[in-house]
Amino acid sequence: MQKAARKPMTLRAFINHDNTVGYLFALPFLIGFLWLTIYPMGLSLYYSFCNYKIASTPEWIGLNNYITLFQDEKFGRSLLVTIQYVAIGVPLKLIFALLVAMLLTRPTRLQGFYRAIYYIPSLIGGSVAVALVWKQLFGSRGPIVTLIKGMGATGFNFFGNSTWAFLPLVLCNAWQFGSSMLIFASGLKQIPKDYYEASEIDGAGAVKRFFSITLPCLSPIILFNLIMQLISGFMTFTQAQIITQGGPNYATNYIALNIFTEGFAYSHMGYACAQSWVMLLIMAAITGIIFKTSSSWTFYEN
Amino acid sequence: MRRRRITMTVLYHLFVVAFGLLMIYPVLWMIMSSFKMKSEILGNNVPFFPTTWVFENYPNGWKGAGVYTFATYFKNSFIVAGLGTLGTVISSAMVSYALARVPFRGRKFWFTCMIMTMLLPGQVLMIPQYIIWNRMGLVSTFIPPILPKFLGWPFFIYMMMQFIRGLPKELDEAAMIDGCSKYSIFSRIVLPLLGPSIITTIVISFYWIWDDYMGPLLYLNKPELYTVSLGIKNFADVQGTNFGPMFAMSTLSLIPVFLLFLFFNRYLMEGVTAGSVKG
Amino acid sequence: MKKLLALILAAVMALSMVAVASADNNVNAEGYQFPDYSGKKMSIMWWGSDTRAKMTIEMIELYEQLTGLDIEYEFYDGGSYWTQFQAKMASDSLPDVFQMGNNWLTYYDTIQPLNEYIENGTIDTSAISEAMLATTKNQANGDITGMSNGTNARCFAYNPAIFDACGVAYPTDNWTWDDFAAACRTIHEKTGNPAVTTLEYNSLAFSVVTQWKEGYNFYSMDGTSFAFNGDVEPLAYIFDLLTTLQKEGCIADYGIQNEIGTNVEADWIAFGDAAIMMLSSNQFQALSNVAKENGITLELCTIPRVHADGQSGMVVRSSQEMCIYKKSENKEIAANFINFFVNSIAANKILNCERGVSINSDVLAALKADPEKTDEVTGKVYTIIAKIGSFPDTANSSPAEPAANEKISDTLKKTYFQGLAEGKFASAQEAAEKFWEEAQAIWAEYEAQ
Repeated sequence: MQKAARKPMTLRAFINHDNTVGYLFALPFLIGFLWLTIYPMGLSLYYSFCNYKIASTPEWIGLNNYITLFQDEKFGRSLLVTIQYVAIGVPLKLIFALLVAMLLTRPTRLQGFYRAIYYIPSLIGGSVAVALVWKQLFGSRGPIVTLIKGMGATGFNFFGNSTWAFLPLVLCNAWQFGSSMLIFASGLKQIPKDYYEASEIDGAGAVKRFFSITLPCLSPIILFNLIMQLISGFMTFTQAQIITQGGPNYATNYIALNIFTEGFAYSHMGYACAQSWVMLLIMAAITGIIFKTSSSWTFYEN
Repeated sequence: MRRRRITMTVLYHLFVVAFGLLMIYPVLWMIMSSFKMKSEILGNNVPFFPTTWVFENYPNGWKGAGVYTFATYFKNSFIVAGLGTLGTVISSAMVSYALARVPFRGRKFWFTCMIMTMLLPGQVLMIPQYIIWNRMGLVSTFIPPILPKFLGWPFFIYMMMQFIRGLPKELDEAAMIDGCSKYSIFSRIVLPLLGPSIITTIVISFYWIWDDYMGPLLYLNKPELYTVSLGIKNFADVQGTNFGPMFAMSTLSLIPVFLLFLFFNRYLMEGVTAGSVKG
Repeated sequence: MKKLLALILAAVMALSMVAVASADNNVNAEGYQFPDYSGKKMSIMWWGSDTRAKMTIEMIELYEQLTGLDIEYEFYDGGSYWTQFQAKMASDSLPDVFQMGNNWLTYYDTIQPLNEYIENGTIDTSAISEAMLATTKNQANGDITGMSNGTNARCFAYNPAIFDACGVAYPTDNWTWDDFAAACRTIHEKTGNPAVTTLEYNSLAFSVVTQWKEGYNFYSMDGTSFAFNGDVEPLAYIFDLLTTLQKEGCIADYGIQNEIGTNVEADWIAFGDAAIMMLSSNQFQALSNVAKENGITLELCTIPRVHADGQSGMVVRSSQEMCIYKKSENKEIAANFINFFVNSIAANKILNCERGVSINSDVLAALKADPEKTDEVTGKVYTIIAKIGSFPDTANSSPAEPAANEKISDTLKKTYFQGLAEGKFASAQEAAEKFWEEAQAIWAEYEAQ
């Protein structure tokens, strides 16, 4: 539509302008971000350049915390074991979640009941009580080790073994795949049935249908679950604290636990903040890479 | 052919049930332990079923410590989780619509900011946030654990964004041709189609808030405000953990969340997608 | 003995009734008038299990009834308490009264020294010995940081039945590390189980330093430096002894120890699968309860020494204390409350030394005389504390815990003891020397404040 002269925007046009709509709808997040998040984030960044012991006022020491970080063996080890934990745990969890979600799409009257059963672990997984249960179950005198010993590996011990101590923790995390499963299930539901019907008519088998329809249609969900589980994997704290206390020999001293210990047990809040920011940069890099490559394998229904 | 189908069905059910039992074994273990004596929980190679059933663990645990029982704790948990979930749904729907469907200036920037907020471990944000709330005199009220949920929870915002992106743009375009504003596109088209996503949000956010103990620890620090998660954590201490009552209360704590899930699961199954996408 | 104590107690009470109008704030005296605090408020927080919470709340309600004070309380489990504490400290909103451990040096800026309240009689110390008062004193400047609401000591628990079955003599009050090693080896040989499960490695290492030579202590009494001349021999000695025993299987490996963690009731000794373990005396009650369920009775004994006639290396320390917040606006009220907490027999009949052995000798005597309050197990705890308190070197080995202690102790246990067991060091000597280097480095970190 051609306009003879530039008229000032009417109120109506203003209200309906994309920018207004956008900012209006995004307002809750903006308020929360600017008020409750950016100040603490900024403060933690400031602390990371200070020697801050909570009991006293922070004093600026520049890059000292970061320099110490590079030479800190404990921190390096912590990063390594966290990466190991995430690299094994996250794919395991996602595969479980997808398989079970698909397993439970078969229309039966018990479907709701089954879903509920598989979902129970997630409902209480994060709690202190379950961490204690896990500790007992995988303990050296618990049922699982007894089983393993029965198969011939006498003297085996999960929590005494630096190499194997991570496994119960990985399993505990993967066990709580419920929310990922639910999200996959919702996503599966959204895939139009016509696609499947059409390909069946074309004679495609179950496996081909999975790879050429299910996976691509689910790709935005896969991307979401991948990023979210990566992030939450890196933040693992409660289980490590309660079940292994970071041991043995720091084999399960995950980065969130390390930060908590430095900050709250050793009162090195400034140093803990520095570690957090390094962790943020690493995770931002990993997330960024995944996002960049996602455009090649994510398919949006547009 | 028919026999094959029956065999497949039977096998399917057997497999699902067997694997399912394996999945919930730890939970069953916890429930059984809630009836055991302490020595039966901690000992060597303990039997699955209690030899003596200690039913007192339940009333003992329920009494909590001091004046307030778990009745108060449950009430508080419902308040925090209920209102928190409401806030999450409202804010997530709104913000995700903006970020996914409204091409406004700075959209990519704010999206990046949102992702960044998730990358910093909560441990370092705890103290500064506490100072903010304390300055406003809002510690020891329900506001700090609940209000932030009305201001957007990045996990759910992002989740709904992915769902919205899966909806075809043609619907929007058709509506705009019909003269709908961006606002009514939201209320008439996107929101109804977000059904499964909203239900998923309700279920997940509810139990995440229900299980959270860091928030209540810092801000609901008066015994009359404690939530169930705090009450349970109080059973554990260096000088002796009261396992029986702790597991008993954990078992009870599982029930509301499980019921909520069962209730909404029905809707998920029946597809509250008001009008399907294609055809 | 009990009768004599009871007689003495009666005499003391009779005497105190005569001296009624005394200036001291003796809450146990007949006719004591509690101050009227109606309309006033006070806040308090502590850590502990739900058992402790119940008892403390009951005691608080008693005080509220007696004085009309309105007390707001908060309680948390041990781990969460410090998170809460740091948050409140950072926002200047700590409660008027709070529980503190031996790490008070780290939080010194938040503590109001109690000396003036003791001097003006608000806090009555007539039944508290100097030694007991010293458990919470800052040796560097004489400040009393808080009133201890219980003392404990690290000691060993053992199962006499297993000792009998293996023909090993019971530990004596001054048994040595050699005796200990011999006992372990015999028990392990005869039972096939490890003889020892939990040990608190850093605490043992520090004790051995004290035992090594007169005048040695790991930290100086005022917590401002190391105090053993950098002599790593005692460290090498204990590294070697414990690691060798562990390799032989006499001491349970770290996996098992980590599993048990701080959960003393899960210790194997309560199930008959081990004969010795180390604990804090106030954990003995919980452990004995579980052991009883399995038909096992346990006893307490001292930590082994380096020289049979040398220092014990043991210490009676305050398990927790009650402090007043430096920025509190209700210090007078808080002091009165703490006076009640520590000295009142009525209050302590409710609390029953759950936090540790009371420092007030009147209270202790009253509890011991009451069979309902003191059973066999509690009696054992009282005995061992009295015994340790009577060792000549106890008074000299209760140093303040410097801020660097937490990190140094953790490193000692996790990097060095566990590292040595996993073969990361060529010898105990090397481990000891490297540890000493790192300890000094950590100290320097904290010095740069």
